Amino acid sequence: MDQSMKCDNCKISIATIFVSQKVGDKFQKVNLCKQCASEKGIEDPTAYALVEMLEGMGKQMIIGSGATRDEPICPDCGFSLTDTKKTGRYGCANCYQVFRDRLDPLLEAIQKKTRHEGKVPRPCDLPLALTPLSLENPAAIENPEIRLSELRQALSKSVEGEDYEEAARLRDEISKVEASYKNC
Amino acid sequence: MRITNLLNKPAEWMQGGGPESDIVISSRIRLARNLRGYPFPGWAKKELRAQVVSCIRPALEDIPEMSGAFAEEMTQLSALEKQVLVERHLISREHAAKGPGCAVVINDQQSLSIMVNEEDHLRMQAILPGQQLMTAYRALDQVDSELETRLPYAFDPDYGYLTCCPTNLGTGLRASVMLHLPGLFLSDQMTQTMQGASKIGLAVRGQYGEGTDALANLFQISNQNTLGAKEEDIIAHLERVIEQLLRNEKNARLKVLEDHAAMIQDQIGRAYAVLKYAHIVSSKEALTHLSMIRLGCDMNVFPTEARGIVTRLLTAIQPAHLQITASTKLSMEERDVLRAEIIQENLKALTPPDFRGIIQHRDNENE
Ligand SMILES: [Zn+2]
Ligand SMILES: [Zn+2]
Repeated sequence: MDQSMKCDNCKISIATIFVSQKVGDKFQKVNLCKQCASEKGIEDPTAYALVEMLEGMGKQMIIGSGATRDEPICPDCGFSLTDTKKTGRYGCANCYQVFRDRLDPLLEAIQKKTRHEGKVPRPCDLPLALTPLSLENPAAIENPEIRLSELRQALSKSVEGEDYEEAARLRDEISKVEASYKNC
Repeated sequence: MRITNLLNKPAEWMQGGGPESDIVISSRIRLARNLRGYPFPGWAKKELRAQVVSCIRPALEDIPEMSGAFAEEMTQLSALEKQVLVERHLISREHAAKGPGCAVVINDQQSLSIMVNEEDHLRMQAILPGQQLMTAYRALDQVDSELETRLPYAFDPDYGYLTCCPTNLGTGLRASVMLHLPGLFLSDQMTQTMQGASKIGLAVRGQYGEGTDALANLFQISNQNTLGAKEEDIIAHLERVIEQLLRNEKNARLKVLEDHAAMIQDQIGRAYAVLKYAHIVSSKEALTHLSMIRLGCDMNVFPTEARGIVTRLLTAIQPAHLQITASTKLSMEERDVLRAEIIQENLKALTPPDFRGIIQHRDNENE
């Protein structure tokens, strides 16, 4: 029937999915047929997987691959600027603070508007035992008190064994957990 | 609730009905939310994902809207059970493929479904039959408001709800409707419609299909942007476009009827013949013909009651649903036979097409 809009990927089928996507440094319109889109794992029409597809990087999200020496990294989750560029995604909520300066230009391109106008949640008043995450010690999130006693035990062990490098690391860890526990 | 009870009962939206149900099959609202202090699911280790599930599940089970809900870890569901949920639009294809540390919670009417650790910690959805976008939003907003006092949401005053992908930032809201648009398709206006929608920030895509066209003439239309507008305004914008689309579709049907009455009658007649009498029916064939039966209902060729049956069949004839009905794994050939049986059974009471109705329909609409 209608022949005017061909799929940008296979150039055969009629495109039924229209998205605006970042390719290299520029944004452009991409039109895909249902099959090509689903083969590339694009369910959500605005999915970023397109970036990888068009750059021939395959369907998988590339994770933790490419942090270069001096680039900023989210201290909470270890996601790097390179990771955000490669995946078009973020590692955790704190990444939005860490990579904040490049957010507005990105949002202008993909969302047009750059500021939230919608619903604002009421503050969560239940004292949930959530502490800032730590990739090295995920157990810290479970229960800060248990975690603290574990850390203190490990600290006295490492002091006994004269492993002062480990002791210093543990001391830092303890004060981090303590601080976040208090702020919770 | 047990999974078998859930699978044996069709979802509310599959029963058809609701406002504008001649063209609008279903309305869906999705909200994306995340918790502070945990990496997003795709960047979280298994243990952290499990912790997120253990935070979220009790909170969900605590709220009145989800009392008696079905709640399960994805690893506890069989591939077939997960596929049924996908065919009912209760979980995403991606979520069905997830491993440990991911869960799903679905209410009794299957109008609310919540994926835990899909791309975001929470992907919440409300789905209703017909054009009920605002009703669906109100229902989901209520769940969200209950949850926000029980879970520490990741929220930024400038950027709104923080999501894994910035394409969902702000409201985290995706509103979509599934529309039956045979008129626009048959009158070659679909490409134009899709391009027009994309210019005003909406995405249109075929619901089913394998490359060339949208099977059953079913299209999904949704908002692309989630940031910089109020939830109600995003939905109102989509609603205005839907109203216009409904007018266009109705006009297109009249025009096709004017210009190609014989072609329409032929397609409806063939659809009736095949679905009533064929013994081997492929998925593609079934969808194509069911679309024409539905159009026939809208044009007074068949009784309007048949519309609900057609809507239910659209999902009931999908591969996983067939295998749940048969309680066994089926080959493609076996599925085609069972599909034909189920369609025949459901259309048993459907009277032959009466094309006098079509003329009446045209005259009524033209007045
Ligand atoms: Zn293609
Ligand atoms: Zn981070």
